[in-house]
Amino acid sequence: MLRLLLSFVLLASLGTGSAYADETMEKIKSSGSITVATEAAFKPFEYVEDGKIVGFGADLLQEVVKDLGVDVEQLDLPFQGILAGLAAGQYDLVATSVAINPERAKTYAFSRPFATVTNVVVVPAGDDEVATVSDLNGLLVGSQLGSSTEAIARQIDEELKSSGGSGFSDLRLYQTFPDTAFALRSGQVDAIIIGSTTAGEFMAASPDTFEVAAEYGDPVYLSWVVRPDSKELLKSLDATITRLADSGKLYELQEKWVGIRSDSPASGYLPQGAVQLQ
Amino acid sequence: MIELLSEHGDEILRGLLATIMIVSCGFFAGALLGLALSSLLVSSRKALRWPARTFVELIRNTPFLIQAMLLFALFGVLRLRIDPLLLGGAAVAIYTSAYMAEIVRGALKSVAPGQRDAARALGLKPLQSFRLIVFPQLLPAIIPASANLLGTVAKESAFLSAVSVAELTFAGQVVIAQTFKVFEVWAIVGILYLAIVLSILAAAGHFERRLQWSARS
Amino acid sequence: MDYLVGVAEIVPLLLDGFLITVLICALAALGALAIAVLLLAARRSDYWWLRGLSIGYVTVMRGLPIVVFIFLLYFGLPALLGLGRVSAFWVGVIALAMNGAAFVSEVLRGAIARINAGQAEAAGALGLSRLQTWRLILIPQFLPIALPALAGELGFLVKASPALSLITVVDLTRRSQQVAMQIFDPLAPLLAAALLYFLLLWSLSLLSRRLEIYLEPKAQQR
Repeated sequence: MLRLLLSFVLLASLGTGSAYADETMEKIKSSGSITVATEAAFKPFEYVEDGKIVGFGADLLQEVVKDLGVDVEQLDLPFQGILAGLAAGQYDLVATSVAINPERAKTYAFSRPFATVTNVVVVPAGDDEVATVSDLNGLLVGSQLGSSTEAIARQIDEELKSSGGSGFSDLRLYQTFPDTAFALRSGQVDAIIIGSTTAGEFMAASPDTFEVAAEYGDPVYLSWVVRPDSKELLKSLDATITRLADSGKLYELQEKWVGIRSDSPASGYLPQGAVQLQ
Repeated sequence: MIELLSEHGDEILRGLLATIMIVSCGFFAGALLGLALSSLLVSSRKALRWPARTFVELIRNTPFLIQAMLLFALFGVLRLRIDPLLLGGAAVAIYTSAYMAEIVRGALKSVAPGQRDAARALGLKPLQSFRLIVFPQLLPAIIPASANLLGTVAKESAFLSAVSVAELTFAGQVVIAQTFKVFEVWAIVGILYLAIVLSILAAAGHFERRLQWSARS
Repeated sequence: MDYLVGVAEIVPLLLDGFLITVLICALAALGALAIAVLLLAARRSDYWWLRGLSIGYVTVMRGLPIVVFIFLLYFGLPALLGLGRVSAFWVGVIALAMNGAAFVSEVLRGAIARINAGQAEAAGALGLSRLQTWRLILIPQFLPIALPALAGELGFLVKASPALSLITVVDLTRRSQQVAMQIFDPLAPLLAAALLYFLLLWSLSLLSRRLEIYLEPKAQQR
């Protein structure tokens, strides 16, 4: 057992020590298969229908593996911990919509964004107490644990407090986005902070239940994530998205799944201090 | 590890306190509920026995996670806003009550039925006879078994993280989402659970020996 | 009433998850039994450190929630050791088996302790071989004590198995969550899942009780 452990540690240290161009890509090519992680609870981008993972991301993934010329093995994982699992090498690509933000960009490499969303405050339909973000003072607010909107929610809370307000009465975190919607619908929280496309899905799934009360902050780019040393894989990923964007297919996919078109900027999407820029 | 604890120790500590609160309050309420249920279980009236038996079997034959999810979903449908910690405690209480009812029922079988008649002959009311005659005899069987149950409940309570109750396991997830230190956080959380559960189990063993000893002397 | 019909209609959607749950528990039970035998052998070993290891293992497993143990094994250990990708299904099965083994080994140890140690010696004095002793004397006494308890342990495995849903395995619990998102109703799929779990666990506890009745009276009939 001890020897086994030791050899693991040795192997691990060897693995990090060697300086090949892109081990990930070599491994994918030699095994003929790429392993990707998805949190299939983010309609319309990735979700489960009749036992299969479908959505915008599933179509994009098909294009990506077509260009790579390999098979794909897709894991469905909880969002919290999905990036940590990538860093730990449990899979090669996080093929789930991840919002680019400065903290994440310090550790992870992002593909070219394939969609742009905004952060919105959603309240029960007919609720006219909340018209702006500042009306969230004293309210019970929900968001998804570990999501970029959790960070946004915390930011709003701090801004409210620093401008003299009381802040949220509490920030309640849920395991998935649909959980936040269930909580809002059933009156467990007063408002939730989520992405605009997610809000659109919820309003379609449960009509006359929700309404968008306010928008907050800059547009958010959605992107897929690889380890910073997987340079070749990132290049291939970007090439696929660029090909789809140039041919217009990307926007068709957006229309098919999301219902509206949004930006897929070719550059300028990385925040300052991003690990890719170094 | 030390850096992790100094920066996020308070979050983990809050989770630990929440777990201790949920488990101790939930268990206490559940134990009382279970005691009441056990009297229904041994009732001679079918109309009392059957609902109690059904409830106990439903709880004992479904996973705790499913029970907790159902309880949360149910309160959602009813549009009742209750603090998740309280509802988590309620889930623990419901779970505890069914197992406790069976423990007490098993112990009741060991008390000779004639004693109750004797107590009645002495003029004791049913509740008095239970409190003074029957209950003290149940304790040697009940206490070690319920201490073991408390240990099980403390472990099961980790499932509450999946329904977004901000207890110890959930606190671990919150810290991981911010630090990405997966192994360290789960190791710390694991050690905390070990400390809680093993001290409960040690107490159970202690009671077991004490009560055996006093029974022999 | 209509709602209950809706719940019943969801049951077929969950059957694949149900089968995965059954498979997980069957594999974990076999694994638990194998590990438990090793633990028991270590516990009866002449080396103090093997005995200590066995006791330590059982203690840690009895004190650790299955949820945290599975997270540690699936998220924590690969990150620490740089193992790369691990299969959620197999890590989950191994975690359940490792956890269950601690309890199974205690059941087996308890059953063995209840058999008088002198019997084996007596059998030896009668000229029975070791194998014969086990087959003719020990196992017939051992099974009535151990089997119902082991069936009970299988029930505990089933009740712990939803922990696998938290690390991506599409078992009955996770399948019900997927359907909840699909139909945007959190309650009905859960009721359907609870029904399936109940049927599985109820039949296991019936089996356990049957075994108890079937195996026990023979010794008492005399």
